[in-house]
Amino acid sequence: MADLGRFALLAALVLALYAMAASILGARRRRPEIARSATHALIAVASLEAIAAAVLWAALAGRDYSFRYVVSHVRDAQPFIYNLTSFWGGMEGSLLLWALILSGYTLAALRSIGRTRPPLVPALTTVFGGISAFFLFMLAFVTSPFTTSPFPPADGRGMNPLLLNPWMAIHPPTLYLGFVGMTVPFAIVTAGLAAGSVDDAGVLLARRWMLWAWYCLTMGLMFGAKWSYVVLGWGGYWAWDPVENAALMPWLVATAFLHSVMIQERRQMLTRWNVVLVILAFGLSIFGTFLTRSGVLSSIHSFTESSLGAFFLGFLALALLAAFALAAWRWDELRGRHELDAAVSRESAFVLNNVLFLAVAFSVFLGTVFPIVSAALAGRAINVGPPFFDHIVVPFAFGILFLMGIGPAVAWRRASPDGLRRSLQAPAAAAVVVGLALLAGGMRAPGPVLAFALCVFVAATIAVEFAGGVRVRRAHRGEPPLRALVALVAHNRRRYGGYIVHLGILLLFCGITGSSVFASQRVVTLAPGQAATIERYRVRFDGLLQSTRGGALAITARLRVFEGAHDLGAFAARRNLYLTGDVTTDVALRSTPRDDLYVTLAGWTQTGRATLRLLVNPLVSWMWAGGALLTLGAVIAMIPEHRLVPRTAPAFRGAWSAGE
Amino acid sequence: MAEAGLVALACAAAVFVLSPLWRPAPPPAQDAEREPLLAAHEAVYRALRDLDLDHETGKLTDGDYAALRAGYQAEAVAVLRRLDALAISERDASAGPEGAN
Repeated sequence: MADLGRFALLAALVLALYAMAASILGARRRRPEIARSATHALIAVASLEAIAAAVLWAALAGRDYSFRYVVSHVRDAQPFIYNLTSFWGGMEGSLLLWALILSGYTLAALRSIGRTRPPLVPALTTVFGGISAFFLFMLAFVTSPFTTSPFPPADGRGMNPLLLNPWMAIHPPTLYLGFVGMTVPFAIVTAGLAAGSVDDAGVLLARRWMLWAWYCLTMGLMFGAKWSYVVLGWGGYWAWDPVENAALMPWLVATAFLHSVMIQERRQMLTRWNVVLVILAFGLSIFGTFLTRSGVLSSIHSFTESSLGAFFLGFLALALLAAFALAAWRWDELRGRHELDAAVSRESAFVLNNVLFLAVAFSVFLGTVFPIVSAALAGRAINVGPPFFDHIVVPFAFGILFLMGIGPAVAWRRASPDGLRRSLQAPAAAAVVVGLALLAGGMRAPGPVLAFALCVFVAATIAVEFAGGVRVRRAHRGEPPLRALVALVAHNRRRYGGYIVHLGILLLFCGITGSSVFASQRVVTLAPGQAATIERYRVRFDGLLQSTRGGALAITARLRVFEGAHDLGAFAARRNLYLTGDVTTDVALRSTPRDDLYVTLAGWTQTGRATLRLLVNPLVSWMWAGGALLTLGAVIAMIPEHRLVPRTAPAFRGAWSAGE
Repeated sequence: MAEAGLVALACAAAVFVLSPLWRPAPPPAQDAEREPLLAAHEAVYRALRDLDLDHETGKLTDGDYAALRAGYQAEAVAVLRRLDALAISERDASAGPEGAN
């Protein structure tokens, strides 16, 4: 079996290199049959990778301990589903998943783009073939998942127990769908640059793929945050960890691109800027992979230290060098055809938004690589820590939030000052009222007051935008309000889907503000029958329970929670002690829209006393609701609108007039 | 036995990859030139739709609206003219050999 896996990867590598060479040859000699052979090679690469993946999955499912990868990630007592998900639990398997997803995207992109822009296909094949070849080289020669042992052990070591969680089962594949998805816009843009067809349509084509990658990356980040929250037991979801930052940076750049590409679509401007953003987003996605696998920075999310870092860094340097060289070569052709019409316009708001997103991305990059740079220059790795990121990022986040409110109120091209004033009057008044109400209610910290007031401002501008659209539809068609709303969204999916995404981001922002500023915490040691109070909750400790669960010794603190006189029921906070020395935490969690009661078992004594960490985290559930709303908006925005112009050739008898 | 399987897999992959070399390539899809034009026209159409909505919700003055709309309409007409020209050239190209017969 292992031989089949090794052979499949080696054959796939040979074919990926062939695809690169044949696509270049086919394009240079204008021999379409050679270019088609190259495309066939990439289909064969995908099939061979699928065979390799099937071999690994079969070994994991069958607990074949002759595979070293299986020994490291599976054990007899491990639940079967986690044997399957351990495919991406280690370095080698996760790289195979990366290659497999890349091939899936490759086939989808070649099929889709081959139908609409066939001249781009040979160059696309070269780019996809080259990137696939790198990952296959790593899998075949540097970190193979098919290394076997002549004397297999009777049982494996299994995965790190922290990873045995449903959120962690879906977090990596979702994140990879985002990371790898950024390869497609990169391939489209660099192929366009190489083939000399750098038109707006090419960059706009990249937009659709970037939107999908952006969405997957967002959800991957959300799933990772949820995992941190419920598994790590510290009550938080984001720690400015280098690997978390590595996923955030391409997300920020992709978000900037998704806004600026709209200007290019309307005004044929910012082509150069958009090309640079696409290249940067891809580069940062590979940089994230480098950080996770190189071991240069310590992170709870990274794989063990390895020699892979140099390979990734070399590949990243080569890819960026090639892409920027191509962009420089075509620089004159990338010149925009128009200028901004007016200082106050939606285009200006988007340009400013891009500047802020890039500033955040650069700050996060700087803070993330600072330990590496300081180690290289001063001989000592200096970590900047969360306060650095908070101080830098929060003001930019406020700026972005403000622009999210201004954007919908400003017209494209040239806004009317009167119209702008009218659109912003009610949202500004609502924000002021909420700000004053919060101050009157006792909230004194200016940051959260400003944050919540800005959130209300943005939500109100979006509400005004929806109300205006509904009013126009009703005036023209006489539709009832609900039908007008549904029709408005259905016929303007990108615009209103985008607004719904913004509402999701607002909920996220409220959740982050509430839980990071207003969380309260107590550490108490209780004897059975004693209770502790935190905020409006009273937590009674009813004793310890010792048991075995999934091969671990589990110590459970039995709890009963009350809110005033109301009994909220029994809860359990647990620590699981594994023979390997690993310790995991099961949190006692009661989640409501107002706040989360979060209890962990911090320690216990022989006399049966328990030390409990009690936290009340306000508005955390708003974050998860924000993720759901963001999904709804993204799905609406991604559903293709009905083709506005028929694909068939236009009628010869006439062109177009305003009346038609 | 296992080696034979691997050889068979390699042969199957090689045949599949090399098969286009001895089959004539199909003619390129006619959408190749039309697609960027259709995308451009779609973008203009979307911009017009947004412009109308922005005007009707009071974000644009009547004067700005009229000037911007005229500009977008001119862009749309230009793109459609190019689409018409493309369609004519495609029709002539496909009618050419038949005319010769």
